[in-house]
Order: sequence, then C-alpha cells, then structure tokens
Amino acid sequence: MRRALLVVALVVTGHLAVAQDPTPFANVDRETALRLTRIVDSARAHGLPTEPIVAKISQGALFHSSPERIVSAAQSVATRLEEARSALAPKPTPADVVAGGDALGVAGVTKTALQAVRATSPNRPVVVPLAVLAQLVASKIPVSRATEIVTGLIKRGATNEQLVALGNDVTADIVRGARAIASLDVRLQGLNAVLAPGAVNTTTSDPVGLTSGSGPKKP
Amino acid sequence: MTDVERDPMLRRALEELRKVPPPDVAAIRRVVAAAAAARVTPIEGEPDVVRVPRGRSIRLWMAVGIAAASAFVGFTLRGAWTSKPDAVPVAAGSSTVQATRSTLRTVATTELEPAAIPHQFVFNSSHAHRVSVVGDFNRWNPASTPMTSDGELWSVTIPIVPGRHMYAFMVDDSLFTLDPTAPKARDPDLGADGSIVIVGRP
Repeated sequence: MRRALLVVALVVTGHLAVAQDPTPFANVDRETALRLTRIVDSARAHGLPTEPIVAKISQGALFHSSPERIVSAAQSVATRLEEARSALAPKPTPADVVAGGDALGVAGVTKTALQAVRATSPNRPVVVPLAVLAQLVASKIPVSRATEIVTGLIKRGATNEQLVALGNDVTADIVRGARAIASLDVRLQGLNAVLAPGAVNTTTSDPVGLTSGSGPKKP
Repeated sequence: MTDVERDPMLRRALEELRKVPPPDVAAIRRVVAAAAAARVTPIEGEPDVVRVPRGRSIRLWMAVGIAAASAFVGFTLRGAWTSKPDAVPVAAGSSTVQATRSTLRTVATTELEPAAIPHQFVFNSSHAHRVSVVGDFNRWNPASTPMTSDGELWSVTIPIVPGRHMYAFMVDDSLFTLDPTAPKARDPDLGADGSIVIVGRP
C-alpha cells in the first residue's frame, strides 16, 4: 500500500513540475526566433525593460500573428520604451518606462505629454498618472485636455487612488454608453469637491481648477 | 636527560604501572547486569514517534527526498525552475534563445518595482467548461491564471503591478472573449482588441 502511494506521489509530483511550463510557445521559425532574441538583447543592452517586449511576443504568438508582424510589434515596443525613457528623463524607474511606453502606444499620446507629467512630478513614480493619461486619451479625450487634467490633479495633491478611480470611472461610464467628455465633467466635479471644496470650473474647456482653492486637501 | 632516565627506581615503577591487568570477567558481568537493570523504560503516554521503528522513518524521508528530486528534475527539464515571467516565448531549439532566457531573468525581477495589488477578474458564463484570464501581466499565458466557477460566474484574484493593462478571457482553450464590463482598446501593434484595466495603489 505504502509503495503504491509512493509511486502515485512521485508520478503526480513529476507531472505537476512539468506542467509549470509558462511558455505559450510560438511556432516561429528559427530565423524569426533569432530576430526576436536580438531585439530583446538589444533592449536589455540599452538598459530598457524587456518584459513588455517579451509579453508582446507572447501575445502575438497566442493570437497566431504572422512572424513578421510579431517581429514588427516587438521592435515597436522597444522603440516606444526608448522614447518613453527619453521623455521621462533624467531618472525614470523601469516601471515608469514601461508605463510611458504603453502610453505612447495609444494613438494621440505624445512625448510632450509624458514630459508634462514628468515635469509635474519630477521626483515621484509616474506609473499611475501615465496609465490614467493613456486611458483618458484612449477614451477619446483630447491629449491636451487629458494632460491638463492629470497634471492639474497631481499639482493639487490627488492620490494615485483618486487618479485611478477617475480613469476607471470614466471608462466605465463610456462602457455604459456615456460620452467621454460628459463623463469626465461629472467625475471631475466629484473629485474637485474632494480636493478643493468650492473651487472650480469643471467644464472641459478649463483645467481642473489649477489656480483655485487654497491647496490640496486630502480626504 | 629526564629524571626517569636518571633514576632506576622511577623507571621500574613506571614499567610496573604500564602493565595491563588481566581482564576481570566477573567484574565485567556485574557492570553489564547493573546497566541492564538501570535501563530507562518508555514513559507511559510517551509520543508514538519514539517507538516508531527506525526503518519506517527512513522510508518516509526517502519518499520526501525522492519526491523533491522528481520535482527538481521536472522543473529543470522544462526550464521552469525559475519564476514564471522568465521564459521567452519564442521557438524551441535555439541556443541563442536559451541564452536569452537566463539573461532575462535578472532584468525581469527588478524592472517592475511597484508592489503588486490584488485584482479580481470576473466572467459570466454558465456554458464554459474552462476559463482563464490572459494579459500582459501574465504574458498572455492561458495556463497561468485559470479561473474558478461557482456554476455561473468565473473569477480569479491575482496580484498585478500598478499601471494600465490589456487582457482578455480565454474560454475552453480556444475562444477569446473581451470583458463586457471593461473598456476595450485596440492593440497598436497586433491589431487585436483587448479589455483594459487600470490598477493603482493609494
């Protein structure tokens, strides 16, 4: 009996160990694999985070994208990471670079927008502000307006939680059928009330009460 | 010259002392008998582990050791001994690719510094047999994050680093489905749609 249990335990343990393979393997040819490897190696050699590139390759493989498209996608991610690092200089964290690279992948987001966020928050991680900026722009908010909102909220002491809530609330409203601009106005009214009671014009033509109020007031 | 070498009396005395006396068999028997009588008997209620025959204990340890060795061999054979995010999703059989795997590990462990935040994904389907969530946070690996069902709702809660993440649900290992409750976005590089979630820490 004990021997039988031992054999079963060994078989199960070995099977579980083998089943841990996390790689959704792509059926790419050797040349493509080498090209992808070169892209990853090059990014790493330049001090860029490589995880987004590897994730993109994996995504392409899962979606059965053509080898050429996977290579192109990997190269694009590497390029955006480089641009993001440049825009977020002088000392962006790897996570900042990843968030910046993702933001630059959203149509409309520019290096200038990233630089504006960095200038507003020079000594703090900007992962969350960049994520919210990217999502607002992806939700059809003009990039200039989205940048004003995010930088304005940072200046007024908005927490990352409040920024995330704004981004998620607006996108949720849009999913429910609301217009992006209308949702943004409503959500900003609530946020402005928390940050600086009595201040602000929440229409989309003005920044988020940047010059009003007596300073940040956190809940 | 030492005192012993100079003095014949001392030399003789030492020689006498160095002689081994003949064994006293009777004395040895008395000592052994006394030791046997004084041997400590097991205490009433003493844990069974003390009485377990040594052979059984060794077999259990052997089983644990062999199981650990088996697990090690399994992990090593599939290159999964290190943490999950370290594998490179490219073709097998390339030595260059293998080399890249090892070099990526160091980078991957440090580049995403923000602490991960638990996030729950929920998918509504009473017909699915198997559902998992795939996204950039798990390298789009369908085997990485399986969801569990209560009969209708599938869910899983996993730690995700702060940021904006694209994801989708994989149903029955073949069908990609977007999250109807989340905004969607088109991947700029691959052209596929995905659901979006923003994760942040207070």
